[in-house]
Amino acid sequence: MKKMHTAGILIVLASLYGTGAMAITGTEIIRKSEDSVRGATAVAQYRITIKTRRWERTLVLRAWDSRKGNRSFSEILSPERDEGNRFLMLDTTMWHYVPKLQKAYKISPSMMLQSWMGSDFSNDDIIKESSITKDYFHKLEGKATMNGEECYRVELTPKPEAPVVWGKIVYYARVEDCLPVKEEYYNERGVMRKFMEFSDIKRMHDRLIPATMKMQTVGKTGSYTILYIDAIRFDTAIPERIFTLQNLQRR
Amino acid sequence: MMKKEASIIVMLAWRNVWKNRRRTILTLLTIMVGCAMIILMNAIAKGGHDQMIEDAVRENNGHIQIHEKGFWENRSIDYAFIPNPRILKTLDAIPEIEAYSKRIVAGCLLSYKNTTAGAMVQAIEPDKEAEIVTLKKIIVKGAYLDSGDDRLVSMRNEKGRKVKAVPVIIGETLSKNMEAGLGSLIAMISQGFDGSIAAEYLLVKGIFRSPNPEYDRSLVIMPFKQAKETFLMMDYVNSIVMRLEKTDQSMAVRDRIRSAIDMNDMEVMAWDDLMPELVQFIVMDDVSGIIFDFILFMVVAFGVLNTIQMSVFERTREFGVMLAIGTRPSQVAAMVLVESFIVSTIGVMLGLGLGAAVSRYFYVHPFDYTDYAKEMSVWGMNTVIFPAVMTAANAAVTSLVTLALAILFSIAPARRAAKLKPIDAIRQL
Repeated sequence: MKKMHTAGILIVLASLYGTGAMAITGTEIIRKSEDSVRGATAVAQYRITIKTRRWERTLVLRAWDSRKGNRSFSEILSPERDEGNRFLMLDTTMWHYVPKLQKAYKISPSMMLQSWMGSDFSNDDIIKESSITKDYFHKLEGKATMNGEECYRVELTPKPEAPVVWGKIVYYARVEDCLPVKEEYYNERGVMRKFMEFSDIKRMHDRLIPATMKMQTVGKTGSYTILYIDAIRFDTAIPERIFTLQNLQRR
Repeated sequence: MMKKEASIIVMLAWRNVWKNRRRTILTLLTIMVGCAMIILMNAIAKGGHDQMIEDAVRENNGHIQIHEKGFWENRSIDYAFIPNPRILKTLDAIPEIEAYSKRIVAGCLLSYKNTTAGAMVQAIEPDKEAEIVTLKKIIVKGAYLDSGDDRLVSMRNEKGRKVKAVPVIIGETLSKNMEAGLGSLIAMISQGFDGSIAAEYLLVKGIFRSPNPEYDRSLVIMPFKQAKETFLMMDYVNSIVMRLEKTDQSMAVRDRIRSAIDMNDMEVMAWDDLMPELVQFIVMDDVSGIIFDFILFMVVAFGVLNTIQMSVFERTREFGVMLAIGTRPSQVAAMVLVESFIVSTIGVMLGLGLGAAVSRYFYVHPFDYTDYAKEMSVWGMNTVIFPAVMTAANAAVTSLVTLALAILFSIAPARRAAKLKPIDAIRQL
């Protein structure tokens, strides 16, 4: 009888835990979100459309991404003028190989905040992509409806000494599966500078992910950068030689 | 009656002035030298400022520049405009514009052997630019760009591969920092106008030494026609820079251009907008000049006060007699003031002559700090030749202020003479 009673309580508790959505923490939401969007590794082909007040151009990029060691390698496939430019990221350093000069440049710290290929992404944005799990405190602030989806609103504040440029990031993730819907980037004075919206959630390879990401800079109306995932394979083994300077500079 | 009275006072004053010649000459000297000093100081300041503006204009910036709004603040290739016929016609129609030239400006990363350096590419039209800035004259090694440099040069890179290179001129400090001399093949990456990667080999054809360390350290001069291709500019340019006949036409010409072109998304800047730090320096220097002028004016004024006061003291008895025989106190006061006026006027005129002569000398033989150019550049001073330039305003203000001060400072002794009691005064001395 007593056993039954304990079991009953356990069942009640368990069911409460399952339905009690607020029991999930901010860190768990971010981790779950990042896990599904990035996987342990990813090999992908992206289309990146960069629109500025004057021109619009689209790059096609092939990328190899490994979260272990925060390594990434990518190569521009088109347009012709930029074809063969390659980028290698190892932890916090970034190299750029320029085929016309047959030369690899290390991106210096002073160039980190510059725009990548004229887009709304800075070099720093690209390198620090994965740091939102480890460089920030994550505080679940409740729920909000964003772009028609019920979302968790998680506020990210940088840990002391963390080498990041943002003063705050607000992260909106869907309540049902923690997929990201929107990220807002604030400077140290609490002014929003950029925001990224995720849309077109569909099945790619083995999971549901947002296949379109649109980054906009606050105050630059009419300009944006959209990243489309054309194809992606998660959790495949990537050979170590991909993430080497030799691979970067190969002919 | 009044006229006669006045002429008597003036005559008396004139005679009094020359009664004690030595004192008068001393007073004249005080006023003359003081006046000349003030004129010279102001002339040196004015000449120095003009020269600094001229040097800065000649170094790289020109008198006036036209950009798309925001370019000067951001110095980015993104801010560009098409120099349409309307703009060019406007410039052609203004006779004060001696020459104008189009520029492309882009930040870049240079790499030579194991060194990399950030730099600024400035693409110019070599022939037109030679009329606007001194670049052609400050080449210390190699040669200036010419029309032949509109073609790419075939070379072999460090790996022995055949490549095409753009001839460029770089600053001496940049050349030293990168250890890249004449004939070096420097790799450059930057961003094209459309956001694509702009990569090019640069062949060092010339090295310039600019008095401005900033340019020396960071400028890469490229032929305009090449840069157009490298940065995919289509018909856009970042800047039109121009030279006028005279610097003081800048504001008027700027306003004329402003009213002639559509200013909604353009900016037309004269040298004072282009180089606000230079304007600030001149304003600060003017303030210290005014303080210095004030001190000199006070020296002159008290010199006048001293001699007039002494002359009144010495003539106490004389004034007593004058008052005793019926001269009105106001007539005595007027006489002293007229004496002061006569001495001051002669002194100021002599001072004007001396000041003009000395200013002229230092105009022909300017102060030359060429030997200290290095030390001065530490303070951000690139101007080493300081001529004196006397302006009409300088002469007029200095002489009128001196005259006014001399008379103002004679009022006290004049009143003193007028207030003497005849009985007491006659008994003195």
